[in-house]
Amino acid sequence: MSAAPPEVELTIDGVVVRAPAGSTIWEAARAAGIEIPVLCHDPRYRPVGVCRMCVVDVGGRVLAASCVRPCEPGMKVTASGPEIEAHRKLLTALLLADQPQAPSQQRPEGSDLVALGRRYGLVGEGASADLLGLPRGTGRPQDPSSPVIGVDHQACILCDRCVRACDELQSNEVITRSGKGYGAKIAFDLDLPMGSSSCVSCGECMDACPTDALVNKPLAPRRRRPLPLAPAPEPKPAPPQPTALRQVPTLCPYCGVGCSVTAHVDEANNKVAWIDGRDSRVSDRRLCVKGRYGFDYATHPQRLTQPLIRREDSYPKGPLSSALRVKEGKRPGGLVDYAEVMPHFREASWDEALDLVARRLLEIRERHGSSALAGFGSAKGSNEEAYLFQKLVRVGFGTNNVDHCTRLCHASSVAALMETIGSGAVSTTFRDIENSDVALLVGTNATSNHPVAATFFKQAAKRGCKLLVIDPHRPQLADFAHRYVRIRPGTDVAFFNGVLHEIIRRGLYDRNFVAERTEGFERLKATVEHYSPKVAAQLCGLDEQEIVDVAVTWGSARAAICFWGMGVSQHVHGTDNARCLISLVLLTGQVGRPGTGLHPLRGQNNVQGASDAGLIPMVFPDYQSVKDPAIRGRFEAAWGTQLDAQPGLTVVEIMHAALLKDIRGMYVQGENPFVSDPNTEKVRKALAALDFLVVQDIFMTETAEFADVVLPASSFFEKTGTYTNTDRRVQIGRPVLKLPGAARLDWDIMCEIGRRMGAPGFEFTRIEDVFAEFAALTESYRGLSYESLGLEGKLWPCKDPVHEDGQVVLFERDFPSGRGKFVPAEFAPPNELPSPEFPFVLTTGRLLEHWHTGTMTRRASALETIESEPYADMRPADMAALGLLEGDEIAVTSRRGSITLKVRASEAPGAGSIFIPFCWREAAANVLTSDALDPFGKIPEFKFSAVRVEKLRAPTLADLDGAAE
Amino acid sequence: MSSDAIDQALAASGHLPGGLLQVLHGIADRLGHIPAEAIGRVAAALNLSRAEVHGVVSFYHDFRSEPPGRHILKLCRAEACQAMGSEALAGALERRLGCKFGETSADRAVTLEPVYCLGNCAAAPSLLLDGQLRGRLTGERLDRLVDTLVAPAEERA
Repeated sequence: MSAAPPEVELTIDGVVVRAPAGSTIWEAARAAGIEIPVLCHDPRYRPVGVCRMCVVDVGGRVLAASCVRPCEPGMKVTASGPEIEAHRKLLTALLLADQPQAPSQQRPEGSDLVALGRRYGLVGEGASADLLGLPRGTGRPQDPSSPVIGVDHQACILCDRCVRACDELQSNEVITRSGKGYGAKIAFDLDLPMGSSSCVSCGECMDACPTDALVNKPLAPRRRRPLPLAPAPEPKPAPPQPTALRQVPTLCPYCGVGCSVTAHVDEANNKVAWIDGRDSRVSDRRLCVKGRYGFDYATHPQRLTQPLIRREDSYPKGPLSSALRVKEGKRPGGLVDYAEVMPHFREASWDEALDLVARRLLEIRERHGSSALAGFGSAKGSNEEAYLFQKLVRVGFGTNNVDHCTRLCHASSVAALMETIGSGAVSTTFRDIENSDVALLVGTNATSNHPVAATFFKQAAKRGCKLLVIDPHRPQLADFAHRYVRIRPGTDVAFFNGVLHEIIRRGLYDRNFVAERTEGFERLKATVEHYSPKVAAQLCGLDEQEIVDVAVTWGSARAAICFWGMGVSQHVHGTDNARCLISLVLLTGQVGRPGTGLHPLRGQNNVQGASDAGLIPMVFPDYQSVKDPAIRGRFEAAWGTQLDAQPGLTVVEIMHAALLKDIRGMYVQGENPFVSDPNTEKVRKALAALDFLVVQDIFMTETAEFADVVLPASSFFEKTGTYTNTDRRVQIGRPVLKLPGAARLDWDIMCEIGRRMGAPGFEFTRIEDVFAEFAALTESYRGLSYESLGLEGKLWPCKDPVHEDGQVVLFERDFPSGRGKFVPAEFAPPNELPSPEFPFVLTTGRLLEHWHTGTMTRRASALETIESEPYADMRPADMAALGLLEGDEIAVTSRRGSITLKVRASEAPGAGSIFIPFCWREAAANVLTSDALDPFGKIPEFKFSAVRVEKLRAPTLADLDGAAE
Repeated sequence: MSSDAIDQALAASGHLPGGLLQVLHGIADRLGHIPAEAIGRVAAALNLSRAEVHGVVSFYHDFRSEPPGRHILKLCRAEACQAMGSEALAGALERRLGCKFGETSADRAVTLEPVYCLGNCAAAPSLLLDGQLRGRLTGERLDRLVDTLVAPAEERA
């Protein structure tokens, strides 16, 4: 029984209002439908009461700022009236007088200050022009240095909204107030130009600004050379004037957080004018640089608009651009060179291209059997597309050789979760950290890879939640950590066994939970017995006390939650690493309650959904094993055909099989294995060895260079579909743009191929029907429909989608497997240890600005402007030992290949480690990585390769001249 | 040297709750100013953002970003002193030192700054020289005072 919070009663403008005790007058008025104008206030952050626009009369000596004044019982408030309106008008006039006479930039939707000016007749037609006869403007400067946000300090009214948005919402803490009095202005870091500061361009400040001081710049590509196009562009007529913008509620296309956005669409020009955050239970209107500024890839001139067929004289197959033929050293350019690649293809009609695809795939099936075919679906596509793709491979191709990039990200986590608790999904949402007092963050660089989730982690830390950050590569979240522990790369199992040992030794585990809900405790205890903190500390390169601290903090937590990322999963012991984390959670009973649980942070926007939909070789939709005859029977009945009983091959296994000619035909939809898969040299040979490859994508990718047929597909912004985020929230993405040229919707293309291959069950006309067929075949999605998903989507499972949002916390009483199983793991070294010849440890990963292989983000003008050149991160001390200066060219060489790129100094990598983002095709990190696999999850070890680093040469004056052009 | 001073100031007061101001005072006392490199170091040591430290440093005039001259002369330019002729003294000072208010003379002898009321209005016009109050200024007395500040530098030259 919980008592209702105490309320106070007051009168606002003669209306009796009841408000929770402690709320401000402004909040009470708003709840009662009385709008009080504000400039400095936003309910999402701390009120400061500096602008005085919201003043009301509470009967005191002076007017009171309603955004900070708490309600008192019996208070009589006058929120509007001649005196107050006169005050607000005067204030508006004073603020307007300081505005620049000729605005250098303006918000397209109009600023709050200008709206107030109109309200008081100070702006617009018939406005009193002289504004009290005051001198106009402040003479403060403009700052055009940021690629995405224009700053006009003269338009700033020092309301501090940007400061609080940056500090409190995003916790980037870049903006401050500098100086005082009339000389005060907002400043970035040490009053640097915004573009040279530590700003991460999330745009939260721009969104917060009530004036024209912080405004989005128009996105424009900045390139020195004209972009190579095929065919050559015709001179374009002047673009039509933008008509009124249409607002479309949709989603961000990038990461697994699944932020809600509103796209403002210029329909006359078929482009997105700008994007801003939308209220949602996931993202609270926040966005990161990719979500807010990374959308113009969809209208990039290099979009594929016609089906393409490889010319006869372009066989035998191999990479087409010289960039990819270079085996070692520097490859030119950040994008596939269309001028070089396109002449190898001819345009074809859809009928010709689709018939060719169906015929060649059928021929291979006839001659070599179904198991000679394989498909890579995409975690960037919708649930419907993933469902249809796996159905096409299973029904049309007749094989389970269907997989997608989850194999490269959380396959090992899912393997461990399925084995121990019987469910691969997160047990709670990431915002449940609001209820935690301890959060473990292992191997996750969330500020780059899940930036909006990271803002909630940082807020939790500031509220008092103790973050335990475990990572050999120091993530930015370590700045907010209670303890940051830098273990040696690849020693996760030793570390967590040490923690488990100490928790058991100190009796900090939950005996009831262990007895009632788990099995195998004795086995775990016996295994971790010999990992005392002292032993573990030696293996991990730590101080014993660091392990003890983590054990005690976690062991004595009331509610503790565990997040992890690729640093855990991308190892040949990835499954073991995840098993240890699960054991830790089970041992202390930290699951099944608010603020507790297991949350592997999913990478792609729909990697959860694509896995749910069955883009996995061992399971049908909803993780139903292909080996189980009863399940198979159900799917055979539903799909009207006989199905393969053998689990199929995984991503890297398919590449190996292609090399051996066991796989001869492939369908790749929206993936780019040439850049994303380990050991590029092997992938090159494998792709070239295929008898037939069809690639369906929105751009000519590096993988498509090996294709026989390339099919132009739809971007995220052109289609309707459902996407399931890392929280299990199923949300609808809505179409924003028209398809370019003859490009078609992905699901439509899949159905065409299915029909032309003579497969049953591809007669869909509406995407909703695809969703309904998929949902009906699953436990998790059953009952969900486009109608019930609405604007905010639903978490699965959801028993009553009409009235409920879905279940946040899973496993309250039991696990899908009944009891949770402890699976102990022994420490074993990584696949390839450093040696005198290859002394450095290479870790690959992502950047905030660039998504995956860069197919989209390197064509997003803002993102490519911010990060346009390959680089590696090394510690200053390691650089000094090799005589390296920042910006020097280095060659990085492993047993498999060599790349050259520039080096940057960073304290993030550990000693003896080097970090290279894998998005750079011209210095592809996967040339270096090994394709050795985890035996359970079949995931490669992206986080540990032995490499050699050599200095090439320093930039010369000529290089610098070139850069200045 | 500046690095040592920053370390000492951090060691002396970095552990105090809300110790930023004490640390900044410690650095200013040792070096006479807060060098740019100090801001990053202090921010890292106190787990604050650089913007936050910059905001505090820039708020207080006495946390200088540049080293001051050998002497700091603050002339009062508030109402009472103005009424007693301080603006004429201000002009004379600028001409004599060859620098404007907020600047340091070329020979680094004097940093000239305005101040708004020293609470010494009864003896206006007033100034503060290296923390010492002087009142009842005249053009002649001010000239003699500046002689004592500038002369040693001229001799050294």
